[in-house]
Amino acid sequence: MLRMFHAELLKMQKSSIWSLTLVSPLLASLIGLGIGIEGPVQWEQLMANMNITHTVLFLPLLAGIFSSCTCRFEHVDGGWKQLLAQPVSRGLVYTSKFLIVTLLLMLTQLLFLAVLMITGWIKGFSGDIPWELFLLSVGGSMFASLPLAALQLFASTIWSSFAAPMALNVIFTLPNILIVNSEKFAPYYPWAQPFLAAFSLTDKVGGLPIFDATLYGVVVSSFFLFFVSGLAYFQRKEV
Amino acid sequence: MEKFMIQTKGLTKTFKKKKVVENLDLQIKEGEIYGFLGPNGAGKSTTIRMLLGLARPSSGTIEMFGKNLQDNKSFILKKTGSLVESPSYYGHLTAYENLEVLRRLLEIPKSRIDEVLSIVRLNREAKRPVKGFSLGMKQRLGIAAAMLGNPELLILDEPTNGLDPSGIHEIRELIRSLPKEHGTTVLVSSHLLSEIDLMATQLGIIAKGQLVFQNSIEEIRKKSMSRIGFHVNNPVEVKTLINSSHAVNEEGIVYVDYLADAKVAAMIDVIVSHKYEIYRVQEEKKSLEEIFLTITNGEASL
Ligand SMILES: Nc1ncnc2c1ncn2[C@@H]1O[C@H](COP(=O)(O)OP(=O)(O)O)[C@@H](O)[C@H]1O
Ligand SMILES: [Mg+2]
Repeated sequence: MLRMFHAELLKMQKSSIWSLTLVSPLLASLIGLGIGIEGPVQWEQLMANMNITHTVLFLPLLAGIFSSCTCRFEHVDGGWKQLLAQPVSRGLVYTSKFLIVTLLLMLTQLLFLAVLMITGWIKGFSGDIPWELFLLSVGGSMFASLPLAALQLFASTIWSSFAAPMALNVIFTLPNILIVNSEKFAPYYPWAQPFLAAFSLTDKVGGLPIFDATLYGVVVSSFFLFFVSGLAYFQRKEV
Repeated sequence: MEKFMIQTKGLTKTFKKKKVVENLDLQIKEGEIYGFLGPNGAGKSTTIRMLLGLARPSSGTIEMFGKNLQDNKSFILKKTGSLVESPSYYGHLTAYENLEVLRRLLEIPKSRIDEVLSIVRLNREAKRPVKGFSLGMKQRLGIAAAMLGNPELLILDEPTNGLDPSGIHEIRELIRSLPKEHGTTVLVSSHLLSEIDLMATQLGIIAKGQLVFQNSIEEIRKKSMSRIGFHVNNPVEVKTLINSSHAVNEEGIVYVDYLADAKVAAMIDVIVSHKYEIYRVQEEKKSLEEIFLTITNGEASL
């Protein structure tokens, strides 16, 4: 497993994809800097404002871009033939690619968190930083983007083009702005899940955060569904 | 029992009801250079993809290293190096990094990268991104990648495609040296007869998905493939005199199938003793080209 991941890492290290992790946090920061925030819950408000574009738009788009990128190098110049003729199991190849996507999403979220702090610091916020909320929100939307990442990786292995899975992703991401408002439908919509997860943890009962059971139930089960389907497809794929 | 490196039985691949590879019984012995010859679209690459587990056979079995491929894929692929159709590479990485990606999978020492790069004479270009390489350089990198894991079996699909004549020569010499120097068994495909002729010791010919011929190159050369021609003063009568069913009179020369020296001498004796004049006796080798055309019933594109 490690050697496969290690090999995948080298491919990604040398590509410019890492720089994409910075884009959304920086844009969010601009939004954060632009708005005026007053009152006692400055940090919470700042996070909410910065999280909107980030989780409604960019996180779903990035999950798709990262997935496509991990397969792109194999699609372009016959890499699948060479990679799959090596003595590694296809399961490991697929899992390693997914781990790379996860790693990139994690990095994006960490950068978001860092940029959030810096923005608040620039704005001269004085109150305590609500660490628990920050970590749960940033981690939650990261976790909730995994089903979408799994779905997109599946699509990226089916279509040997970079553009097709991306187009699919964009088409389903755009209506997100409307769908996140639908309480009934949104938890089942993979593109809306990162947003819901980012905002579902704001209520507290007796000092403990409430997890949205429906949302996380759907996230976990759809993750397994998408990941296992993609894996099964990849095991049988002819190259 | 002879030991086969690759043995397929009834190997068949169907795409949309069309049998692209049909009932192939390949037998490739250890230490041989097996030339897999066939016109474009004959099914060579499809066969090779099945041998590497990249495509699933529709029916039939594949044994490599004496083991069933399906159940021993990792074991077999660990000992097999391959290059399938156009070379595979990561354009944004340098030649060295391309091999490093594979090296990490194979768990072999780093020094092996420099070794294979120098074998294909790419060590000077090692630090350049591959996207700027010429097709020939990419092809050579592909061969380096195939050899990286010190494979006992090397499967090369049209390895000289896109190379210039000197590149072709180099690769050919390299392939020829492998069995001697490393004990490697090689399966090399091509649509060019001349190329296979220059490197292979065994030959399999595939046409329209079917194996129409499989034997050693020596064997076909021997097989009545050369003939003896007699220039005589009276070919018509000499032909009757020789009275062999295979004797033919072509443009005034009487040809018989290949004969050993003593038999040629005896035949000359007979002709001379009947007072015919012999001007010249010659052995004519049929070119391999002609032989293959016969075998494949005139598949013209060979
Ligand atoms: N994935 C595929 N789907 C449908 N037909 C295919 C596929 N791959 C190859 N073929 C067909 O199979 C035949 C043999 O192709 P191939 O094995 O590439 O021949 P060769 O390598 O001898 O030139 C061709 O007619 C080709 O069009
Ligand atoms: Mg081919």
